[in-house]
Amino acid sequence: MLQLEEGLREALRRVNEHVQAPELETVTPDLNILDAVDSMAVVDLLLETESLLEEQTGEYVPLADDTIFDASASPLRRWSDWVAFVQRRHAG
Amino acid sequence: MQDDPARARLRFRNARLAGIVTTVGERRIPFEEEGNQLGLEPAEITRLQRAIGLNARHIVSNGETTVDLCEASARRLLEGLDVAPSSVVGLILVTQTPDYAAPSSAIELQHRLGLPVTSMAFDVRLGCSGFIYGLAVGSSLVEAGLERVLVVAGDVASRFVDATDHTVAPIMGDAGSAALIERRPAESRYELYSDGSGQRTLYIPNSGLKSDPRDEGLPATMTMDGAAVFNFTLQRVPDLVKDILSFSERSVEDIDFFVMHQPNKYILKSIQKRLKIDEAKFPMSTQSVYGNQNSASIPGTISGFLSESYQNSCLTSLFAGFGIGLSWGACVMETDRIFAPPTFIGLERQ
Repeated sequence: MLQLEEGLREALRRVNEHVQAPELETVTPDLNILDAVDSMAVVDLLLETESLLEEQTGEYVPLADDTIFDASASPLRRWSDWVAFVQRRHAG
Repeated sequence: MQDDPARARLRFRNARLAGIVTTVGERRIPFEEEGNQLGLEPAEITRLQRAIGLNARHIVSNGETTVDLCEASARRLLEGLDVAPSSVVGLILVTQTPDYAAPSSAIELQHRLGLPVTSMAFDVRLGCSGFIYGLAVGSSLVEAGLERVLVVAGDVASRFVDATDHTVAPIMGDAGSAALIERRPAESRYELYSDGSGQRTLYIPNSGLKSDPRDEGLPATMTMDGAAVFNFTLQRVPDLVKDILSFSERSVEDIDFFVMHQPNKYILKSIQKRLKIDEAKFPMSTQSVYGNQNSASIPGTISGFLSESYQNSCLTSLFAGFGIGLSWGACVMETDRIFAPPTFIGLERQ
């Protein structure tokens, strides 16, 4: 769990090198990524996270689904939800 | 996808692809240069390059049109195959950017190419799925008795976007393609889909006769709900590929090349990974080099990246197109060695 969350933080950090959103500099359980960035950055985050976790685990797990951009249901609305979402995906 | 009782499935045994040619606009615009002109910061330019895979695009200049690009490709194709225009009796032009709202651009092209007046020519108004539909309709005509049908697909998408919109303008490239289908033994199978509930996901407001209050004041340029398009693609395309493989009684391993419409790097990579397809069989760089070629993106990918393979080998291919409409479709086809030269840049002879 900790290793996975570290991977997610690293992916977010890499994306924010280009986005440079101040809101993303400090990760808290309530961090709302969806409100902080545009759709291009969300796609970039998905790509970065999938690639990084594939490097770590040797397994590609797709993270995009039809909730990602949903303002009322996206796991990206809260960091803790995002971590739990990715964990569920990786658990199969 | 569930096995609905009524499905648009087609199977052909006597329609063979003889060749493909693609011509792109001569003007090459590097994305960095365009990004600077649009006022994007260097970090923003890098971000868009990473997420979508933008590096450059080719667009037309001097008022060149869809028919101009398609004519150049069709002439090159017929010359390369040594086929007389007088022997071609069917012409299908697939585009969303016709030269005129009416009449059909295909009829102008029939005249320009010198096809006989005893030929049939008409437009198919589709975008990113259009090449698949064009091949399906062309193959139907060939199976029904025509000896040769020319399927041209092209768009000058750069002319229907807001040039100042950094989310759409730098994506669009201009290309026109031509493919010839002949009446000779070859196996191909198609599945086609339509969902008008997604009409406003990707559309050009105020571009026809309809006055919709929701469109009041909007410019007649391409409007895209990026999130909805993203969801549509992820929901539909993996199943599209699985279903056409099943209908064709093939496995992923049986396919030499998966040539998909080329919207952006993430979408393509996600599909390739989800379906566990070897990256070498799944080209993904077309948009990066030429821009989004819309209806011409599948032939554009063959001309741009697979020319040598299609010219020198007998192949089994899976083609899939998906986008505006919403409309999507796929086919699995066998090809002999075909005439498939590398992409031509510009209308002038090289």
